[in-house]
Amino acid sequence: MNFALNIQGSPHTSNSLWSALNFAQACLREGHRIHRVFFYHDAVLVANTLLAPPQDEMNLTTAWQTLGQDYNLDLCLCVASCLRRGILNDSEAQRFEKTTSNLAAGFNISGLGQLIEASLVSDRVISFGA
Amino acid sequence: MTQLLFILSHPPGSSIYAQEAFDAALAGSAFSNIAILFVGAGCLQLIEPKLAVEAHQRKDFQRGFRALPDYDVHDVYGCEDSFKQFGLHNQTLVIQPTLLTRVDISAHLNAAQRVLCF
Repeated sequence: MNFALNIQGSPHTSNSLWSALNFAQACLREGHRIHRVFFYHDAVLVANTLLAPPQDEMNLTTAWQTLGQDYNLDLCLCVASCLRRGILNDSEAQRFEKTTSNLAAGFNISGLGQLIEASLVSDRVISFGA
Repeated sequence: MTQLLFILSHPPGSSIYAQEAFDAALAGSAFSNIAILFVGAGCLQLIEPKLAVEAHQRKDFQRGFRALPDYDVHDVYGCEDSFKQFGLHNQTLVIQPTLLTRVDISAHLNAAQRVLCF
């Protein structure tokens, strides 16, 4: 089966990204496909490369990066959610004249159309709420 | 035929989630035939905003609900039980959704091609 994931919860105040990670790992292990992982609302905060959690705690950013790399996943963030929350790639940082960008490698920033497209072409869309 | 059913469950005001969820529904309306269902505290979004924007410095995105027909969105539903729970029957609403029982909601969930929860 082909899945689309719609993840919304913050890495700090919600279990959403962790649940979605486990779901994605189980899906892929069983031979299913994931058309796209879409990060919305506070879930985009997971793509902040400046996050530095203690070493003995779960690092959700690297966990998603590793899964994305292993299975060549499209890890797509909503641009409007990102700009509100200060997640910027190089071109957005330049556009808003910020001193730095902070988008972690392996993630890409795009629009809500990507969530809609993924929902329409996949067999199932699974939402992990905020 | 509803291609995408958007379920909106966040209350307005306490977070940006309700506003962003409405943005997602509008994006969906550009690409497909959508329906919107307000459930739980999400129904509170339908109350006509009473405070001036200057008083709370948030966008009154709910006024955009009135423009839904312009986006070709005609199927707007509300959970009847939630309306009772939050006492919304006597409130002035931005728009009046079609109220659904739990049985009706199940039928709509089954009939929609995809369901997106916010």
